[in-house]
Amino acid sequence: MTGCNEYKLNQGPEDTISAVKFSPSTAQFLLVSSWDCTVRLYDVAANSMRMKYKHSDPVLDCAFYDPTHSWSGGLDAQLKTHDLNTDQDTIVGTHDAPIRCVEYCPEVNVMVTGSWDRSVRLWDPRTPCNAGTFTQPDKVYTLSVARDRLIVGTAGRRVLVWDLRNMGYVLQRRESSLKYQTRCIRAFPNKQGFALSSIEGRVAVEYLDPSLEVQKKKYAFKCHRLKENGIEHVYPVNAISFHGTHNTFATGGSDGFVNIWDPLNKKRLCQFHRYPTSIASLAFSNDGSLLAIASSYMQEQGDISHPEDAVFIRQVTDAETKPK
Amino acid sequence: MAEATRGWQPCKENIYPSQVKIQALTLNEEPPIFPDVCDALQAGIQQQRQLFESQLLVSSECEALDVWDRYVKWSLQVSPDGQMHGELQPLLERAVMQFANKSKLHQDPRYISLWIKLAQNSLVPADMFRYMQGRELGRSHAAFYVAWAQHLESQGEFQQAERVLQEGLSYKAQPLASIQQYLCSVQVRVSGEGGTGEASSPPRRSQVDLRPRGRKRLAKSAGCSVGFNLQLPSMVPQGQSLPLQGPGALAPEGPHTSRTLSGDLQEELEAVQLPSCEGGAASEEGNAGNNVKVRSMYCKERVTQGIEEICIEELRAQRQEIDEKIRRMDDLQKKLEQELQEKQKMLLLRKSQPAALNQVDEARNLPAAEPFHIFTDPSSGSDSSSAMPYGDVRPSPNPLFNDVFLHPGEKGLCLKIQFPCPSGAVASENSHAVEGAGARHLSLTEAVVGTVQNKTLCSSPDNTRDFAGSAHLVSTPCIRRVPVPAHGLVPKWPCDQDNQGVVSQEQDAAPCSPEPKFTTGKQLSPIKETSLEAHTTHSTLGNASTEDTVTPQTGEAPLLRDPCSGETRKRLLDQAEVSCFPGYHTVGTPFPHVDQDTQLSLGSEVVFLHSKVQEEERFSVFSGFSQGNHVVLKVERSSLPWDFYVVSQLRRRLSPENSAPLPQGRCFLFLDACVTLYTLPQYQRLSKWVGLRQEGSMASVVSSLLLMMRTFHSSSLLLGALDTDSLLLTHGDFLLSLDLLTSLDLELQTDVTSASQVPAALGYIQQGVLKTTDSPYQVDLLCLAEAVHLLLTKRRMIVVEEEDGWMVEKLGRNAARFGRKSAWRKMFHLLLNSSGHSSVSVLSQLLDLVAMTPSW
Repeated sequence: MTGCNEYKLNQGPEDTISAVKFSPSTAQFLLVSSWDCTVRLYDVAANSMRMKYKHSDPVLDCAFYDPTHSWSGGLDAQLKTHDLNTDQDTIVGTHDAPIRCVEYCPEVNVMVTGSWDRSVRLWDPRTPCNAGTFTQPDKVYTLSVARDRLIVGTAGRRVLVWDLRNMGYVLQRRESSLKYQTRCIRAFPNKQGFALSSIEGRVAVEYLDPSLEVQKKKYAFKCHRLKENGIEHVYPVNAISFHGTHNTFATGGSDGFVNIWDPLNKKRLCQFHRYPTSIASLAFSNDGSLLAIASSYMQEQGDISHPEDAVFIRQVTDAETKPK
Repeated sequence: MAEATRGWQPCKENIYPSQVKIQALTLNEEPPIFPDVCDALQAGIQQQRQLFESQLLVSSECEALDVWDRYVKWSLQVSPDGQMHGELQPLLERAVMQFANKSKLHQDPRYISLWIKLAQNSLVPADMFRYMQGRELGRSHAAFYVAWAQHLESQGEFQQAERVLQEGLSYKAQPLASIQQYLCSVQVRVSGEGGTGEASSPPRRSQVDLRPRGRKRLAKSAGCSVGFNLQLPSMVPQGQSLPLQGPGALAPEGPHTSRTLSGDLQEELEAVQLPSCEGGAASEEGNAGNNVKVRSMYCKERVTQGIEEICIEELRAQRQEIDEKIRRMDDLQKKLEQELQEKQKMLLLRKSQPAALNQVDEARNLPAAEPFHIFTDPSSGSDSSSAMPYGDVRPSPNPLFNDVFLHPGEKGLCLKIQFPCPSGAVASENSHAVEGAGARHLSLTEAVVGTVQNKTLCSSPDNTRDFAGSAHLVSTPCIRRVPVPAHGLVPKWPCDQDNQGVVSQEQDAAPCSPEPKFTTGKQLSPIKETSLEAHTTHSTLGNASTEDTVTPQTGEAPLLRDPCSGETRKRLLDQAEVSCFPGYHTVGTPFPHVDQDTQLSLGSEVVFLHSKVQEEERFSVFSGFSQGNHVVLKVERSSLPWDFYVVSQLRRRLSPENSAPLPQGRCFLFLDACVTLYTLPQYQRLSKWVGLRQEGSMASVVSSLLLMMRTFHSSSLLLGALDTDSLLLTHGDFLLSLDLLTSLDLELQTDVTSASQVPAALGYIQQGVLKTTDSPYQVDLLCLAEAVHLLLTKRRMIVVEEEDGWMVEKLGRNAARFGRKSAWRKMFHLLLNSSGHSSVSVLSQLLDLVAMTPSW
């Protein structure tokens, strides 16, 4: 199933994979959270699982605070930090409903969580403790950090832009450019904008600068759609990940395909082979040399039999990721 | 009158415009009949109705459907305002249920039309439409989708309406043109609200916003055609076909490398420029005008169904939670089944053993009791350690020291307790005398093993310490604690001149206590204390009989028994022989898992549960259909049919005309649950009804509450609490309570004589609103005040003591809230200060007050 530039991680999770995140400082370590209530740390180079810790309920997201600390949250609404050296857990705090997103902002040194309780909470990782709770207009489905900007995607197709240094008011309130439910938002590495994907095979590229000239540049395109017998099958676009240096991004959909896009030139650079099942999450390593691909059925069509959940590690080249 | 006989209403003031098309032919044949006008016209309607009913009796299946169709249409015609009323709803229900099992007629347009009318005029149209969709009723009929979309549109759910119509198109419902036409009209209406498809789009701010939006404008500005009619090309380059997709499909074999394209062949994004103005929406795929069909590869209906948006992860979490609940229930069921089997085995085992297995048998296994000894009076100078058995001159091997001696001729209890010592030596401490009036003599043997009531006191008569503890527990209704001294390891028996015996409860002292310490002086044993309290003063020294033991008061002190406990209820139900009540059925199986949109078999009938009305810790309430009737079903998580018992007793004790509004109730007892089924053609939850109505209609609510309570009280039934969420307003403004778990039958529970015995009274007694000696019925009046206050103000009642009695705080401070404060004040005053008055008279007085007050 895999080529020489790709391999499957051993001792993968036993249920749907919710998120994959590379360590911020090295391409060697990968965090994987899963619906089997575990968060696992993999040594990607050695293809082995180094550590595993558990939540009481399925875990929906995880993130590195630093190379030795991971943070994770899920349906148990508990935010946990785990010391990867000592293998010790600490419950930092809770939300009132399941935690959907966990991200770290190195610029402000704050962990950010988004939850279905319609709030975003900031956490000071040094103490650790809660540093603020900020109500959102609806349930938080996705969020991304761009320098000191926080972009939150909620239910009702709302997008909010916050300033993490001043959370007293919302910087921008937007409505998603796409007609259907927001699945994923990821900010550009150059912090100029963000890519937003919907549940019905579309991606929009938008910019943070509110000026009219810049706003004219935003666009959307269809993707992850397959036509067969005259019927167009439209798949949710579940994952987006930006290459650290090229400003290109990869999308993964429930069709099992991974595409790499050049947003500036509005081109598709590459499409990988089809994976066994839906792509639940993607993550480029910090140096852009590896792409972690979570091939995991998310029960978007109900509880049916499906191929095994797996994480693939793929070596990507400039030819595949660099704009032409 | 001549005009009235012709059927024309002489006065035009009461003419209602008909909501239904009136066929021209019928105008000539029968003039519109307005039932309110003339009795003769009513008779004509009745006659016609009977004609339809008789036709139904003799018609075959297909003919019956036609008769029903005409019957319902005629009923609509003769309805004063063209709307459905109480009689038409059951008619429709009868019609649809008659053909429930005739699947070949399920796609008949007439049958579908009946269902649509029923759904449109039910209390929960959305549920009804979904039910129809689940049963595939009207799947190929455009009328079904249009009716459903109309309802959704009326609720403001435009997107949902559009999806429903799209579904109709996908199923090629006929006539297709009507769906397409309605869909276009919906889309026009939606696009007229800003293009987002939501009613909550921002309002137009300036004339600029009136410029044409959508396809035409974007096409001109962006240089590319966008909008509903645009078919955006696929991202896959021409000539490259992809294999069949699906979560289970395998990736194609072959070299799995990425398809990196060279510069010339790189795929251009067919990007669509998004409008930059605020509030503008991107043009999205519009399927109405495209020839390509689009299928969303996720459970779109579940994601978009319901009031709240939900994502894939939330759906999965919900599914998981349900699976977890089902798993827990299965485990619980298995556990209960195992327990039941074990108990059945034990029962069989007991039955197969000889019937004489009783305490006597147990006693045989116990070591033989020592013969009782007669002890000499220590004051007589004889050695107290010399205890001799009766008639036995040998010295006692184990003389007892901590004994209670009575002088000859003295009246009092005599009780000897030996506390086990580590060395086996007898404690050589003081003995104490007990005296008091009205005490009884109890020999040790009698006290321990003599009577049936005492048989459970302790297992071994030799274990006197155990007996002491057991005797204390069963004999002393009122116990006051005394501090245990540092060395205090044994129960103390302090004396009290006023015969107010105080007994320590330190039964958990060290098992081997050294010498017990007793204070000298006059002391009372707990048994004596009980006998002093409970019995008249006469005693027979040496004549203690088993009947005269203190045990009548032991173990079942009525003052302490919870009148609402499961044990008490079980006993009462057995006593009343509820299993013989009409409408009672035993189902000897565990209760199956039910939820909305499921069926439940109750004996020979099947109940279709279409919605869950209420979910509480102890019970759930569903609404459904059964045998053509609208039913409400209460599932209690216990096997005690108390609700059914109370309603049945109410019906029995009321006169026939007063019991007529009571709904028919039936009870089905499962192994682990009890189902009470009420047949209710019409009902609404009271709290919801009040929320929808204006304040002025509170009079009818209050009146219904007063009537309900008076009905209960006049039948010696106590409600015990009043939960407004569990009250249903049925036909004729009759209130039915679905939660009777706190109710009491004072005719049967004759031991409940004061308010302090009613669990709900505690708070009121503590506040001082109620006295402990007040009648139990007063508790209900306070609960009624609480309920009325909650319905009126949505807040809990706070009472304050004024000069003339108790009053609701809010009335005193905020008189403007209540338009006729004097009437409200009177009402609350009567309810809160009814001590000493008959509750029935108070309620009657209040009903008169409500009737006399013009409007509330």
